[in-house]
Amino acid sequence: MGFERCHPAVNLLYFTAVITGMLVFQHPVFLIASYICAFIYSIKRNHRKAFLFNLLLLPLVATFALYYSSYTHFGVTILQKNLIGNNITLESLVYGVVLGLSVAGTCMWFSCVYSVFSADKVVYLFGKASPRLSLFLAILLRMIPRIKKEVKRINTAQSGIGLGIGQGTVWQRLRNGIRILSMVITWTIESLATASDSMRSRGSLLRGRKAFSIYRFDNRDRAYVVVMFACLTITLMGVMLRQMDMQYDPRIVFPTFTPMFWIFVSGYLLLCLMPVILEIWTEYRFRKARQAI
Amino acid sequence: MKKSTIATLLVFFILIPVTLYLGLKLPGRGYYLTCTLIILEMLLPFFWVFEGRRPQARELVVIAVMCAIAIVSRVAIPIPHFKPTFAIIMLAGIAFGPEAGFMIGAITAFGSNFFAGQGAFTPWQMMAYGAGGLLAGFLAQKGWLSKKPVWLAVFGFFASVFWVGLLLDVCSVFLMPIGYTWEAVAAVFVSGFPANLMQGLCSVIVMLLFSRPLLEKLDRIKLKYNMMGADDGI
Repeated sequence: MGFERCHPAVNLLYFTAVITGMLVFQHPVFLIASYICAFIYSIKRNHRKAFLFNLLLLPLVATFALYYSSYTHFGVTILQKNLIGNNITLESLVYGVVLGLSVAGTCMWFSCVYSVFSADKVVYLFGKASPRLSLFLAILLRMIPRIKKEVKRINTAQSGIGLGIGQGTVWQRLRNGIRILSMVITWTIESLATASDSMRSRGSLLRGRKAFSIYRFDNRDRAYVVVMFACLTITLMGVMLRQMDMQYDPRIVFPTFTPMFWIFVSGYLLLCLMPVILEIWTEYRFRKARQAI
Repeated sequence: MKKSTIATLLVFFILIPVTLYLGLKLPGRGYYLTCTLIILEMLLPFFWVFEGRRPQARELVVIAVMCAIAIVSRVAIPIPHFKPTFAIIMLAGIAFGPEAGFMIGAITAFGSNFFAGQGAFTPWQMMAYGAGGLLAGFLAQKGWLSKKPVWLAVFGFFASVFWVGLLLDVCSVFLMPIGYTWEAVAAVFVSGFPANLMQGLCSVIVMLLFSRPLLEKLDRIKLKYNMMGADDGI
């Protein structure tokens, strides 16, 4: 009941735009805007798990900034000397934080991507480009859980005759592991061969085959795309007017904050917040509609 | 000699060296172009094996699985210069013929470099890895290579050290700014020798331990599904 119900093409466009922005913009205001939105949206999607993950990322960012500033020494504002006599500068420390935050933000956006993009959406998008590729992708993606299941099955059967992975001494366990690996390889090749044979006999590679999909481009998608491109246009205007330019080496230089700057920021903020707004709005509408019954 | 084998040899000895040489002159990330060209060139003899009919999906699937195993064996083992990849590519070549071995080797080099790091050396590695599969497949097809693990181990050692390893060193000769004097070239080969020796030892171990089960598996699948021109042998 949220962004994942939108058309896959819309999902793809949106995440491409947002993640590119996260990686490209080095201006702290834009960076933090996108970072906060990623934080909120990933919690909205994955609840507690995402919250813990996001919190865990923060010490990593701090560690990276310290590491970065102790290995690169550009900049003019010297904070102190480290134990081998190299300068630790404010500029490199700040730049380390910026790099760390943009990577952490990208990780958080990707956690949202994983929860929005199901395997069938990936297959659908690829299928537009090459139906044959998407067929193989579908088989392969389905193969991974099947292999996991088969490993469990084989291990159970082998345990019955005393050759399971958890039985015997270390060497015997290793041997048993290799035995099971060999069985899994045979099984994988054979089941892939039969899978592709059966797809073939069902005419999957014939000319004129149509791919069925449950997706259609409805009015909500249209509205979403219109708003998204409006926000993108505002952001790109900012890029063209060089409002996102930042310089960290040798001195931190940023453009002056004009009223226009805040317009660009709010455009970008709206872009990053769009899925959250959409999901909250949909939930609100849903609750209203249910109360009306 | 089969037509496809002649085509493979022509591609390997003429077309690919020419491509590699011309690829040296491309600036920047031009090596991606060279990689693509080499894969395309290698596809030619591979498709020739099927003599007019298109390769079936299941044949491509088996090749993809072999590539995946070889790539995993290169990426997952953390010891440098001690990778079972060469031996696995050679075994694939023995089972499926020189054309397929060539292709599996090249795709393995290209695919595993996405984990190990792509560079201007990638096309050369593709050529060298593919050469391992090609040689093994060619000798096995001619019946000059016994399938007993001991003989395979001997073959694996010499092929790893003096064929694949040597070809990989040729890459360093071309890519290092050392000048093409005999001394410099000899220095590259000598300094590469210990690494090649390690690889040779690894190939020996893999051949002794895994050649029988792996070949049995691949031969059985080849026979069961009648792929890669298995009907020639029956």
